[in-house]
Amino acid sequence: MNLADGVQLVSFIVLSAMMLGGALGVVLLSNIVYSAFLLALVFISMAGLYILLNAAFVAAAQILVYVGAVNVLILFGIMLVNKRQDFSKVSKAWISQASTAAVCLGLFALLSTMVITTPWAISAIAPIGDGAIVAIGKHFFTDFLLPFELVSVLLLMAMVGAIIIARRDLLPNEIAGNEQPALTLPERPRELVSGGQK
Amino acid sequence: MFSLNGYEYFLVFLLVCTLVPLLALGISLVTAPRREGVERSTTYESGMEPLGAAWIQFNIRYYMFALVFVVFDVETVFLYPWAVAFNQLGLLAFIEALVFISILVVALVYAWRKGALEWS
Amino acid sequence: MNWFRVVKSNLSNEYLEQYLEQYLEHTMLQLQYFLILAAALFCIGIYGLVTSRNAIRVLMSIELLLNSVNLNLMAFSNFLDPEGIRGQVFAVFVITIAAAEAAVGLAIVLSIYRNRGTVDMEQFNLLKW
Repeated sequence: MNLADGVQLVSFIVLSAMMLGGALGVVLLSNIVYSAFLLALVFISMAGLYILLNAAFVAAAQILVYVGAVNVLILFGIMLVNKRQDFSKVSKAWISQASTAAVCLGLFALLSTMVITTPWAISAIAPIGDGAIVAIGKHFFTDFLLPFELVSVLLLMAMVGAIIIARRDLLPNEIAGNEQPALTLPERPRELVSGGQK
Repeated sequence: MFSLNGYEYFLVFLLVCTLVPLLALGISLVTAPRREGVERSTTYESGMEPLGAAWIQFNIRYYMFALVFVVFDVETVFLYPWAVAFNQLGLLAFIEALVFISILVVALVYAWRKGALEWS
Repeated sequence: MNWFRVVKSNLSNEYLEQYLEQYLEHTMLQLQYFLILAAALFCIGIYGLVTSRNAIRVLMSIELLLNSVNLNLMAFSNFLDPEGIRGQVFAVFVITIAAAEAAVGLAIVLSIYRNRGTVDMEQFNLLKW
């Protein structure tokens, strides 16, 4: 044990404050670009909490995948759809917001009570710490082999699907030309086509 | 119970890392002269006259590159434990990892064929 | 906190000893702290998921939800299963699925934006009864 208990507790409090503040900012700020950067703050403080939980590899994966890839993807998505627009007012929006907040607070109270009252079977064994990467590798190729292989199929499907959905111009021309007007959805004309099919 | 090694250096490093930009920005905030004007609020474009607003719409190609990057980033996360535990896993795990990689190569070939990797 | 242990060993007062023992107990990180933190993050995520008007903010709230689940899994892995660390393996899979979900979800949002010219959730009412 190299970090003293007090140091761990202080780090935990600082990381929790950063995480909860960032999450509230993500949900409540009106500028969505600020929200996206605060989301990165949430992900980074989450990685710090993982280190406090003896999971250095998952912390690194969190930084690599969430901050490095997912957050960048979200920022690009924001930049692609950003049009400074004010959403039209919905009448009595505060009712839904207040009721949602009440339900969420109730859920939080319920979960906290459950967490505090449950007698957790805390294990007395020391965590394996630095050996976790090897243990994860063994898990991937023994009892988690099928999920491991399915992950590659999932990634393949996600990539193919995202490319097909995001690129409008992959529709074959003959299908697009023969569509019957009665069956079309009330869409805007397709003038925002991205750089054409080569 | 904390059982990772070497994280006290990490903590010190992190503290120094957060202090440096805070000090740099704080000192310039305190000591720099403040003169308001039109020039001050324009977008900084390396000394050029700014063209248009900073708040522009990106091209969809950026999204395509980010998408391909996400997929192979996740692949890295899965292959790293395999590489670390390689000596203890043996030949069968090697074949399984090859299957994993080959399925993702199919994804790469697809993205390539559909032009998601081309800039032009 | 070793300082407290040294002080404690030199004390004879039983009441103070008990008090310091309790103090030491609470400065250690507990499973409950992490679970309550994850519950708070989950509730913030649900609030954002329900009340957001912007479709991309809805996706960000889903990421918050998945992160809170991950925090739960990691806490259980550390405190209840420190040798098997199945929670960490699960967390890696959840991270992967979150990445795939973000990619496809953003593609859907881009597609809707191209068709409707907005990302306002209130305007996506084509399937609304």
